[in-house]
Amino acid sequence: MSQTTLDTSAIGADLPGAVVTVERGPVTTFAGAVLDERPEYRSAVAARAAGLRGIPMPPTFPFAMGNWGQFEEQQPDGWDAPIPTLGLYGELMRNGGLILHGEQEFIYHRDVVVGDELTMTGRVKDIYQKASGDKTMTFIVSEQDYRNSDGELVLTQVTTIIHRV
Amino acid sequence: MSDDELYFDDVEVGGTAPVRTHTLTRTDLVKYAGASGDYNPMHTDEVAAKDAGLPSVFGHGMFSAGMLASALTDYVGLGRLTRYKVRFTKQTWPGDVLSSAITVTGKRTEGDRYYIDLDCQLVNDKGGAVVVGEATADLASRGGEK
Repeated sequence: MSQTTLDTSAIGADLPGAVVTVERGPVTTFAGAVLDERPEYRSAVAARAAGLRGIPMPPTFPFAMGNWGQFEEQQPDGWDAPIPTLGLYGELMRNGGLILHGEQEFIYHRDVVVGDELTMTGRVKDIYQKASGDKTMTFIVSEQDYRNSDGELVLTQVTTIIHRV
Repeated sequence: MSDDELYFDDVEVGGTAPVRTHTLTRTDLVKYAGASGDYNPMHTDEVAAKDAGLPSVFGHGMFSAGMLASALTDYVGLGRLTRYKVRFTKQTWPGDVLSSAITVTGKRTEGDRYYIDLDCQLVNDKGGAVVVGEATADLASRGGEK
């Protein structure tokens, strides 16, 4: 496999921002889909009885929530701009290969419950390459911070995508 | 808080969490696709998966991560996780018997916070880890009010 110089110019670039509302139906459906049948994911009464501010978000829901509560008219300018790594993915895929989800990390700074409206800002955290046997693995790491309506940081998620060829 | 609350005081390093076990079905994958919005046909369309040279559809990595998070929540309680990180190591297939394996690796206090660190894995019935991860939880202490 021809090894070309890795284009790391996107490191530090901002990802398009977004506003995401944590919606009740998707939260309850998601909890069931990851086999968690706790009543607190279905009932606000049960959630408050457990000492929670509202129906909580399942731990891995942040990876999916942008597919639900990201309403077009609420989005900030530039939300639909191309991601800054688009060119890099195009370059990598010219040699074929596979795009894999390598790692996912969630840091929960504060509770998030149904009804919360979160503002996301993100950036490309790292781009690096490793050899693995006769394969070349390119790691593209992005980080997203979510703030509540008071501007407090509530959640960070870090996604590592691997291109393997 | 409920009677089954996990207290920092009662956790020992090396202790393990109750095991969750589940046999993966194609219905699980359809449900997860709908719930997550990940409609990659390799997870839900058997015809497309076979056309692509695969033996069948295979599981979403984030389904495995989600099931493992449910097992973590079983142990530490709702709203207790402060961090959860997973690495995807193997594909899952319908019929796989998936089991959680969660071990306490550390206990520490920071100010008035009581943290435990955990190693967590989801393993298949051939003994292979499909997801390997780590987590931290902020627990109540019998001495404190949190």
